[in-house]
Amino acid sequence: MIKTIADISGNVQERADVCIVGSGCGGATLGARLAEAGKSVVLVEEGGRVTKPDLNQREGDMYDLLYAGGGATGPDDLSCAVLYGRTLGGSSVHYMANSFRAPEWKLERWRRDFGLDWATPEKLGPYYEVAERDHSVHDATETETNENNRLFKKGVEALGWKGEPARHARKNCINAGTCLLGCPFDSKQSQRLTNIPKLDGLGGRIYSDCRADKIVVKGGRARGIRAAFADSKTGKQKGELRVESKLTVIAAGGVGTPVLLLRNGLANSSGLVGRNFQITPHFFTMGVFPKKIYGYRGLPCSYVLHQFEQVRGDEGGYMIQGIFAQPAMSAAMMPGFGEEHRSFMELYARSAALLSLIDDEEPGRVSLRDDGRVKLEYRLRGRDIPKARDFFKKSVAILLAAGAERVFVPAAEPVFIENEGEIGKVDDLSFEPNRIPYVGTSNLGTCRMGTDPERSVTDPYGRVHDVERLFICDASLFPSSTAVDPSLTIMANALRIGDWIEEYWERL
Amino acid sequence: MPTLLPADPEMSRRLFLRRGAGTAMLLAAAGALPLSCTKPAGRRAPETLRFFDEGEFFVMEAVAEAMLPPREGFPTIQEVDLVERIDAKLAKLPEADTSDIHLLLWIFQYGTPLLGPAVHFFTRMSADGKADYLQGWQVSRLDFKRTGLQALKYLVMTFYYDDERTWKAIEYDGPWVESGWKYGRPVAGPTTETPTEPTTEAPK
Repeated sequence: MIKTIADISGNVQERADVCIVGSGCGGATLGARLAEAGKSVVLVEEGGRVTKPDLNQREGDMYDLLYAGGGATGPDDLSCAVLYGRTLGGSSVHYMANSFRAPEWKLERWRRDFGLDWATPEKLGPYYEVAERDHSVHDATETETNENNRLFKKGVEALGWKGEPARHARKNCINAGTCLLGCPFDSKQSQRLTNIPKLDGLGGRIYSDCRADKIVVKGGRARGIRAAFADSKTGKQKGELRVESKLTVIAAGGVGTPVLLLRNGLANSSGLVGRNFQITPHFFTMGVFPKKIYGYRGLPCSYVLHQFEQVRGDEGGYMIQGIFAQPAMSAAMMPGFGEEHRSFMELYARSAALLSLIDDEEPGRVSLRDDGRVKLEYRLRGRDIPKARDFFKKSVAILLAAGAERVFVPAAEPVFIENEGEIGKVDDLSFEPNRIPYVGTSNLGTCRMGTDPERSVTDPYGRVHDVERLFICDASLFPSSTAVDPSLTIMANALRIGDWIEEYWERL
Repeated sequence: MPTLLPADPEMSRRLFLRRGAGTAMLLAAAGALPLSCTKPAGRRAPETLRFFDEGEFFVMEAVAEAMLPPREGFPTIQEVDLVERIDAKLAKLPEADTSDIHLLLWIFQYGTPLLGPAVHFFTRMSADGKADYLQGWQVSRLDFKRTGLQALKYLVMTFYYDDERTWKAIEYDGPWVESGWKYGRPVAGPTTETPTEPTTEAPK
């Protein structure tokens, strides 16, 4: 049963084994897993439910429909956009569908620094396999590789570096290329098409347009939620949902989960709720080629370079992947204005782009303002600046090696580079706010897990230290970035937590 | 839209000024120098405005024109109703999240009298003067100027290039669900069960 605001005519009372807040890779996966184990599940999602006809591939409409804040969320100084989903299926509806396992070196740090003994390729492997199978994850094929990514590969190989096909979650893809605006062809395997229908088929009760406000706690034990039915487009409220449940799970993402906990004054004895906010910053490098590329056609990313994921000396700390965006997003990122900007846009069809995923270590914070509204703080600084600078150097070199006539860093004062001898210009880039545009899409770390209650919000199974029967199940649990897109690891971790809950159900 | 402007009811992002004495002084100055005097002779703002007042409309239009000067092959900002569409969008957002935009336009029009002796009238500058002025904000050492310019640029650029009348000039296909699968061809990936034949019809 999936109910939207149109199906609601008044207050609703539910009773279930498990109540889950949030329908993205964490919440939907755990919901389906527990329903499979025979538990009754209620899942609530603040965003609306979209169907194929809603996904019209138009930027303005889709940012409003799929992204929190219409894609306009970020820190006060507007130095970056912090993007995340607000729709049934969460960020997976607009994600790029890149599906990588967390690298072993990253898991080793989680074990070493946070006591997460489960973080090994062997222990996570079976869960990854299930998530990969359920989402048709495979290496991008040649026919799934567009010209933008072919040039990326050509440049990497010309430099003697070693890239590889991107692993991604699609089937029967027709190369429409508007993945970041949702897939109207049902090719991209988002939660909208996988675990939510699965949960529905197993008897789960799913409510969209339903904003959780209150986590009900009595006697130190979570006992369910209270939520408002509110039209995700207009905000108009229609009634209240009360859920009584044995377990309550918050899976509202790296921003939504700490916000809900902070508003309820829960789980924060460590003072870490909302801290350690990481976004895996995405910077862009553009190259102009002599021929038409039409980079917006086809999979945005079918080729990746993991070689520089780890910091080694003055190098690394990021991965590089292909990317391209539709005109409005591209225009916002292009440098300058006036004739200069027009000229860049005239070269849109001849431009290629590369994207960074910075393994950021200098955290920001998610907190509440005095009036209760959300405040995001994030600034690229410290150890992360050399990583971004090195990304620009490497990505410029790749585009030049691929045959770009000219490469540029889209900064307020753009850096133009026409040959390898000019790559040193990148050293002059300033990373002050609003000098270089960037975006964060992998928001995590704000309720990190660990064995020490003074250094973590939950235990290694997502159980909140301070409140019995309250779990967290999303990327906010991760102690740090996964160095790659975290979606697959969120799902694998949700399956792992689901296994544990099933095994220990009677003792919870 | 990824405007990098406040849009989420949950997200109030003060654009470039903290509440405080400085803001109060600027607001007082704004009252003394209303934007209504920016109105070009013989022109009236659309009566449908819901967010901008008449003066703000013309400042925003001047900003957009300076950022997107007329060019052959591209529609003008008037042809795509750019400022009207921005107005409609901002009008839907909570006032608490957009109030700084009014102040931003006022400061943009009159310069920053608290930070220097000159009072500028942006709408009355020459085209070159406007471009220099924008550039000054874009590369300013002051964070709030760069932030303010960024906010205006994101509004102008995203709303302009979201309009399909701009797509021909940049060779963008537009939505396949509307135009049919002109360029794509179905791909038989490893997980494909039944490869689909190419079609020129929009998928149902």
